[in-house]
Amino acid sequence: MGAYVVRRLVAVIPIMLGVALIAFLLLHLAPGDPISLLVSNFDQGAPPDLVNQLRERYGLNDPLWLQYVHYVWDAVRGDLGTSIFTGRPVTQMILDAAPYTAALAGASIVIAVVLGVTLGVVAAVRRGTWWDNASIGVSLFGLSIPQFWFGMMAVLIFAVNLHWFPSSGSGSFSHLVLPALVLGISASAAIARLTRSAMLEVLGEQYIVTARAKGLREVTIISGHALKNAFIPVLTLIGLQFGRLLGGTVIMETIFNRQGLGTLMLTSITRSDFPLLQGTLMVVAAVYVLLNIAVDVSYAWFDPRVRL
Amino acid sequence: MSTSLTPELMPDPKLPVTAEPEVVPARGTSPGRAKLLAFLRHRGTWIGGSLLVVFLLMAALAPLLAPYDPLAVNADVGLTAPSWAHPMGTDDFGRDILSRVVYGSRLSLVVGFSCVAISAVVGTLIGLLAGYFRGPTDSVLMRVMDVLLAFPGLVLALALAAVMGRGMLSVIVAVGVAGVPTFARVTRGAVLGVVNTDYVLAARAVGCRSTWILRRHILPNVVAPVIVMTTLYLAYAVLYAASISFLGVGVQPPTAEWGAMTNAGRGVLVQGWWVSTFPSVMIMLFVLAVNVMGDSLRDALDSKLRRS
Repeated sequence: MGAYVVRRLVAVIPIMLGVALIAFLLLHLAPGDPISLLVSNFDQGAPPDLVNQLRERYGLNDPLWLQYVHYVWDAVRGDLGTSIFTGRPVTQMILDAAPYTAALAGASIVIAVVLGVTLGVVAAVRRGTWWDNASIGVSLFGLSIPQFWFGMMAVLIFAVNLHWFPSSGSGSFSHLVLPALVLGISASAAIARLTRSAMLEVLGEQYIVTARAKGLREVTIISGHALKNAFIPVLTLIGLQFGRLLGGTVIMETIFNRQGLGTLMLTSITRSDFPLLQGTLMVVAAVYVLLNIAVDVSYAWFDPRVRL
Repeated sequence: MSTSLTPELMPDPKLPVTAEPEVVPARGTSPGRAKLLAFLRHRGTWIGGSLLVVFLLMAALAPLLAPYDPLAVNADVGLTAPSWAHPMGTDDFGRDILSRVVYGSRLSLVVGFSCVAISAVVGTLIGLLAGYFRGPTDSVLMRVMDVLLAFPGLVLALALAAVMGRGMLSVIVAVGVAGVPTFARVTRGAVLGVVNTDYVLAARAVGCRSTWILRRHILPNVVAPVIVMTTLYLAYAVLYAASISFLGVGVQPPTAEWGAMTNAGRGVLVQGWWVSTFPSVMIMLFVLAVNVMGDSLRDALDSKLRRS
């Protein structure tokens, strides 16, 4: 198991090199020069030697490959460059914003798993009943509803009209409730559907019949025997839902005016702050890759047949 | 296990995709025909299909259906609630929401289908090559796919759209590229399931060219999972594209695009819920129709692919 984890972590290195390459190339091949934006407040155009000096300082006169090597080397040492717009270190800006996104994504995934698995199990156990149909219907809508509109409606109903929660900001727990619920509910839809079909498959197995014959209580059969086996495919999906969640945090942070990586990414786009955009892309990708490794490792914990 | 980042419906690469022994068909019914019949008999096909036809008609007949010019500004009727004159109300510029929603169907359909076309064609090609030739081709192609998969889909699409500049074309390319790795993985998995079957080995043994084998013997086996993926990703693509426009990076106002319209309604959410609600409901109905169709396709074509 330890060896497996190490092997997976080593495999992250080439992936992150590729991620860095993509982030790097994207922004260097993109139209628009960060320096021209930096000096755009000069009325009669910036003096050429100033531009050149700045290009030199940001290393933009070096050949591309050398810039890439520098970028990776700095990134390894935790330096993701300097934001062109604020002049602050990108690493620091990301570290400041990350806890907010982590709180939002963490709370959402918990809500998504608890709600999704519960709905799925109830639907499977009460197959063909009103419960089942309602759960299928709700999750189909949950899959199709645009997260951004769902978020806006939550603001309108629970913040503006009912005043239960603040409509924007990111300071306290109450700021977290609405965006986390919206994201969690929207991600629970896919989990509920898969849990239902996985449970239905497992409930037809011989060992469930055996468990019933032994006279075990239904609760034990469902939670102990059926769910434990049905959970493995669901786990794969949860890993995938992390990706949707991380994308969803961008939307939620925008709607709820929350601080976080998504807001950072969007402002870096609107301000053409290339180093900041590069940095957030790198960090989000790294987090996503590591989360997926964590999901893979947890297979072994849920399924003793999986040898790592 | 290395199932990280694999879509939930990726067929197990170890199993041939159509591993189940087919019941010997009665005279005159091929397996393909039986699947088509199963698809046509499915309730979801009719519900989803008729909704999709409505959307297609709406897009085709937009000039006839829209009561007003979608771009015409009319200060006299700024932000009026739904009424007989304006069934979906007007936005703060006095533009008729119904007309904008109707015209918006054109954009959403074009964007959605173009994205999926890019993802499906490029992804399937990469998957075919990687799965059939194995070796270095496989390694290089799939490592590139791994790197693309290291970004959450929406985040990658957002960054791509941002660097390509705002507009419909960059949204299409961005969301299209973001979908490529998923198709490549699914296709590769399906190819691996058949590449060592006797008929492929026999075709090789008698000296068939690779292009012939790929087209004649391999491609038919990957069609089913690719079709299912296509409907699934169509739903995602429409949501992604709308999200990107919602975040202000995609299609720009005043163009009537559902995501951008929802964003425009954000500023007047409290005074005019209808401005953002109707375009979003259209997105939801369209995605719902695609999802329902996708479900029945999956049920009919491939019992191995799980619902999610």
